[in-house]
Amino acid sequence: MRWRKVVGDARGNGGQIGLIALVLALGTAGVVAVLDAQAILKREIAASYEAARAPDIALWFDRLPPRALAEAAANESVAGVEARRVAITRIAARDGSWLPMRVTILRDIASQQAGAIHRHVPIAGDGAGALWIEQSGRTLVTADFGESLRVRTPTGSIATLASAGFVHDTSVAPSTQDRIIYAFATPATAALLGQNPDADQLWVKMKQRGDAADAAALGETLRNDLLAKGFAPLRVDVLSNSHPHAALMNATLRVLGVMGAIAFTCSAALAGYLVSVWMRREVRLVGVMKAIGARWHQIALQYLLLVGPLALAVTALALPAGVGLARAIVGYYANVLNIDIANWEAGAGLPLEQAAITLGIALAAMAWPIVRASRRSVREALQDPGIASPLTAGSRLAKGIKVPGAMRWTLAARNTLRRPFRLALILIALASGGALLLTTHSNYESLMSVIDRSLATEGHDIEVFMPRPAPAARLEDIARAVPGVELAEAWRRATVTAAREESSTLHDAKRVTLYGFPPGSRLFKLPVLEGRFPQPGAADEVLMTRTVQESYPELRVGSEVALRFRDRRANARVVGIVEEIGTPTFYAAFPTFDAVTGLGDAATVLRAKAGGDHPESVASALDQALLDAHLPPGQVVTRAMFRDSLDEHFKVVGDVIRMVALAAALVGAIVLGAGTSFNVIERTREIGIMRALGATPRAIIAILLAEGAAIAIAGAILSIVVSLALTKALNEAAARTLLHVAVPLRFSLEGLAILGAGALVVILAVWITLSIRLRRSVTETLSYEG
Amino acid sequence: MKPSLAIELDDVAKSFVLRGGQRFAALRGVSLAVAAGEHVAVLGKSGSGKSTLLNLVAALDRCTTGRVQVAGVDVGRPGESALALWRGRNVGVVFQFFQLMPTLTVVENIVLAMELVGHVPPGARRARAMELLERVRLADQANKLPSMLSGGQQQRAAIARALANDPPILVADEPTGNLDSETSVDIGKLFDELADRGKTLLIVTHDVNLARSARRIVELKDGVIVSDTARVANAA
Repeated sequence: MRWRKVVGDARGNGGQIGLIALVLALGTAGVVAVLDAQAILKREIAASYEAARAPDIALWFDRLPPRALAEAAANESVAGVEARRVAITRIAARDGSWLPMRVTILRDIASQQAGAIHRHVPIAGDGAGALWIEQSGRTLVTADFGESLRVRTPTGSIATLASAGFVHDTSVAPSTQDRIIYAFATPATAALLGQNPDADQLWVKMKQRGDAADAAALGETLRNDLLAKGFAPLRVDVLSNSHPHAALMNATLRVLGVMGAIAFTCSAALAGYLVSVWMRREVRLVGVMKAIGARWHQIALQYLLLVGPLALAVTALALPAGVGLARAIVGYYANVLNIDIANWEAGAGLPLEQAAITLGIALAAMAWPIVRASRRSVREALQDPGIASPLTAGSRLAKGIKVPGAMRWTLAARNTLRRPFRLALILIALASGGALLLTTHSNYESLMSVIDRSLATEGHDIEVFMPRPAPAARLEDIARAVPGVELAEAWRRATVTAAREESSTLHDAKRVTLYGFPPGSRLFKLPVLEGRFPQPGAADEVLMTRTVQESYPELRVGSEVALRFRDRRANARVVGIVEEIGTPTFYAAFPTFDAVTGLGDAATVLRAKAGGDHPESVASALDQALLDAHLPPGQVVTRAMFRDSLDEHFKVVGDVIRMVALAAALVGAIVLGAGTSFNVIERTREIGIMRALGATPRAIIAILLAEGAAIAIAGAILSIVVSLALTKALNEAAARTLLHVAVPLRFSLEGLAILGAGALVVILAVWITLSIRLRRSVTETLSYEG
Repeated sequence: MKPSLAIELDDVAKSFVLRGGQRFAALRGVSLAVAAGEHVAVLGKSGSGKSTLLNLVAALDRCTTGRVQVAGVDVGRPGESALALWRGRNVGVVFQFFQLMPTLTVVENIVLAMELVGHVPPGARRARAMELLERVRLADQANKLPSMLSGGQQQRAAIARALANDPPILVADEPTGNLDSETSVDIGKLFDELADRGKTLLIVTHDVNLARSARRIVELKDGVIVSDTARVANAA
């Protein structure tokens, strides 16, 4: 007989049970997807990078002596060595533009001891006369096997080569993000491109690397050993041993985990809430059952026999759905991060663990109202009149609310507090979802506004990088002759290492870009935040960006810093600090630049300011002018391209977070819509009373819509407050780890508009529910049992 | 001179469609005339149609056939909004379970009733509400929430609310059904006072004492009036 009631209840409450199942399924699938994706990505990002055998140390030479390879390989701490050279050139893209291309010249394409690349199909042939393209450039260049590739040579002419197909280098960020094509060639092919085929780098893979200090120590040892053998490296670099985006991804995965947990909690709470509404309708039956002799646990079991199997069935369906969704997320990120996924399983015990947790929480959320209702006394249960709510803390609080003007608004405001738990659930769901949505939008807009502001402080909007130094005057003349170029200046650029004055060990040396600007520069417009601009003619004064202080926190205005360039070493004094997004940079006038590098009149950068609204076309014209002058640029970057590149980087994190935030906000809106609809349904008899008292349908709709709107507004205010705090925290983290400049808070109106659209869901839900209720006669509504 | 009629039912029938499609006739060919100022008790067993009769008089429902005229208005004609306003102004309804708004205080419940109809000017509402509470001897409970009052107090508050817009007609459905006998007597006295003030009262009740204080008793059985007894003879 008990099962007949269970089946009867299931039939009679089909809609509600369906809604519970849907809500639970969505929450469970969501959290499983996120947790699985987290587990897989965390493991596979590390594994993929490990498979790339990324080098730990790079030694630079003018020309790598062949014997140096064997000498380095003989060191017992060395697992493998690789000789290579990198040439920067450009390749014709699908859309007709010229993209920068980094060509790595390798001895043996098929296998490498450090910095391994691989193909997903076997490499055919030795690649003679052909280029391999890193697969993430697939959408940017037409490079299927055998297709022609057009590549610029150092003289500016165009060489046409065949494509040897795609290879995969899991140690680099995708070409689409950095807007650079990675290619691989043999020395013979490099020669065909007019590039120097001789290796100038020695990459070293360690057998065991603890931290950067270990790598630095080995690097120092190798340098000394090679020096002793007569091979003098120009420079020794300790390389990072993690994926360029690993830190960002780990942060994303943590955020995803939190969001998944919030979404699941909301869904479990909503399921519990729906059950509590159901139990309110059953409470008189509970009284009747108790009156005829049932005990509370027997009554509770009656209802648990329905929700228990429901939760089990939902979990059984939602788990594989979640796993499928996880694979989709992992697949997306594998593409975005350019990694291989060798193992798509989350882990042996994880599904069981997830099932236990999600099922346990869902059952607990649904069991609580059942047990609570079952434990009500017979008298209470039988006398439950439906309209009167007990005097709760919420009611006491509500009594203090008085809205000026009509009593109906006071009624609406106080009604929001009649079900404090329900209100809390709605507000938490709404605030969580809304806050996440607002935060993602506000954070993105904050970041982009900082970028725009920073770009606005740059005096130039076109920057040309020359692969070889050229006389400054020649470059400037060529540039100024290009229509649309308002200003052009030839700058100097070098990569130096900065060491602390009292230390000369490799470990302390960090690579920093040094820019030399011409005297009287009109394109250097970065605001000096502290200190002053270098004196004209001073040969030992530098400005530094704040990012330098990330590596050298002790450097400040007035500090001495030793700058090393190749085998030169010069001391300089920091006279000012500027704010700029990007890598750590020193800025110096030409005399200081020359003192550090000794390069003389050797401009490697051309900065230009374009008039009008189309710097891209001016950039193209400038590019062509330099090619015509046999001074082929390595890379031409406009302000828009730089901005787009940063935007692409943000998208790595932003897109998925925005999707999850939207889903969380949707859950919040559903909870809000469902909650306010239930408020209306429960209030059916009360609506009948108001109609009996003389309230028109319009008046009733206004009161209940006001109630829904009050809850939506309260939720929105809570969302805004929480999002402001979260955005501030995210901005500070981005400032600290990503942009290295302060990121002021910018509140997203677009996010608020999306949130507002969600509020319309509430209004619609209330209006639809009300319209259905008001179709009934007053008598029907008065006799509504709930 | 024939007293004016406050309530007139002319061959009224009301049937409901039950689940399964069956029709149930709650009222069958009922004709009833209640003069202004009459105090009428409606008796009958459960299912006799007395609550249905009351609902039709209060324009809470519409008859299937026939005509219901209350306070000079055929209540089958106006639209829902017009009917609601008319109801608030002309018919005060008292329910068995009081049905006060739980989040409003006693005085606020009465003010809300005035506000919904708009008959009493805003500035005068609170004062009138307190006056009504005085009349039902509940003024000292004005600022309490309904859940803080006893059943009898809640019902007195409900009666004050029903009088908020000074309707000429008051209908009550089992007003003492949820009260103890002593409190029921109190409520009965209140209705007597209202009748003395000229209100037309139509009270559905099982309470014998409450029925006794009425001047006329109408008895329903199976949807028809089986007896209609005046307890005090009308002057011709």
